[in-house]
Amino acid sequence: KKHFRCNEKIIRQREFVYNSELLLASEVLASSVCFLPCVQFSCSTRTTTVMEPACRKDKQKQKDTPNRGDRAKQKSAQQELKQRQRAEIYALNKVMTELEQQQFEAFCKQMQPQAE
Amino acid sequence: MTGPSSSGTCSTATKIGRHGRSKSTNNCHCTSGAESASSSSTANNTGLSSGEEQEKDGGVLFYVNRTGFPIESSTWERMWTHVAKVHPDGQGMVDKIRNAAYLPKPPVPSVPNFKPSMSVPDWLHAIQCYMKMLQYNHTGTQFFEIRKSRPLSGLMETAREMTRESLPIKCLEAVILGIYLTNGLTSVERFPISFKTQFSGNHFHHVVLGVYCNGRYGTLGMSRRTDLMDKALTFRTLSELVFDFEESYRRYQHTIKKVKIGLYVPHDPHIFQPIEWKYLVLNPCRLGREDVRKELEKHARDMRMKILKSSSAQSPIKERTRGKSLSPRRRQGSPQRRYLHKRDKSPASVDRKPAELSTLSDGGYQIRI
Repeated sequence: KKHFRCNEKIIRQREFVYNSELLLASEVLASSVCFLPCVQFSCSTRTTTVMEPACRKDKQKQKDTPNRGDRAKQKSAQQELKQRQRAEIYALNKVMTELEQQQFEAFCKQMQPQAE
Repeated sequence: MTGPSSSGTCSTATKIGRHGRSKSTNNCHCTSGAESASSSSTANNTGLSSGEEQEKDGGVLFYVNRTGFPIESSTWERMWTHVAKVHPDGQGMVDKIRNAAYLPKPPVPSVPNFKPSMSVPDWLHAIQCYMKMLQYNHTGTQFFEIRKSRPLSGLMETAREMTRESLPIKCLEAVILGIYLTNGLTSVERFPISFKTQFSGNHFHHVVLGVYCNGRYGTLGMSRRTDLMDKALTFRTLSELVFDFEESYRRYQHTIKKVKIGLYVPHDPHIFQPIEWKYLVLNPCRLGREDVRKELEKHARDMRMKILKSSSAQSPIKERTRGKSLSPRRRQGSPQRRYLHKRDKSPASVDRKPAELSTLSDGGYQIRI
């Protein structure tokens, strides 16, 4: 694979392409090359993969973006789980606190006659 | 406060407790809700299946979340399994909460912010209110792992986590949180006060954070019982404070077996030194009230004069004498732990409850603190 600069790429496209349809396609691709991580041109003799510095950055960005996206989703899911757990903990704590209070009061009542 | 230690396993528990005390995580026990000697041993066996999550203190197992947040599934399931056994409604209660489509979102209390215009009592009150809003943890699973031997800096990280996660806490967590929230207020000195009590043949452990400011003593803390946690800065002496706790314990039919007073906790949250939890250990049952008072006052005076140093504090090299052992020599006044009426090294004998009282707690409720 060889890497070319944008201007060089446009010139070389035209050199390699013989078919008029391919010529049209490559011109279109060349003009939109900045938005693609990689543009592949095929010709009768060889296949050239062109990578633009901007495209390299875009490619890097696209590689990172799924990871970042995944991490953000994971973080968000963790936050939701924590919030749900917290809600359940406090709901449970309320029930167990009431139970403890009831048992304590019952115990105190039981103790009172004995003390008397 | 903690659950009971089973009288049946007390001797083994004491040995384990003694060896492992420096590594013990906290004073909080949790066996089963309706404590009794027999049921606690059953709970102990049940706890053994979950390896690393168990903790022992005096031989009683309790559950601790060691894996941070969100709580991992094994710890989470264990919590629910435990409460299902404890609560009369059992699994029904559990399912009602876990399967609820909507649960109200508990409000997150704001961490109190000290303003220079606040007085110390107001600030302590704000801290205590914050702790009360977090609530006492009755779930049976402690959410924050506290290792008492950890350096202060590590414990302060845990305290920070407590403010972030905003979950119910128990007595030891409240002490750590109290230290964290009073850090920097140099006019306030903090020191731990631990109690070991007995009720109905079982031992219980509790800890509060003693505070001293401008000639007055008080406490911060959390407990199941409102009169065994925070106390206003109104006590003129340390002994008055401790006796007040003793009176409160008596109302719940607990007898104090040991009181342990620590040293002032440094205000620097980044130091590597651990907290000194038990510089002075008193056995009120063996000492008379007057002797207890004298020892507490002596300790309080020594703390105020700042002549006491923790055993974990390193002695400077210049104090080492030439020609002698290179191991650090203890300084004059460096803490020799003072055990008044030295701890009985034989397996602890538990006072058996009188037969006529045994019916009160058989198979049933223990007044936990």
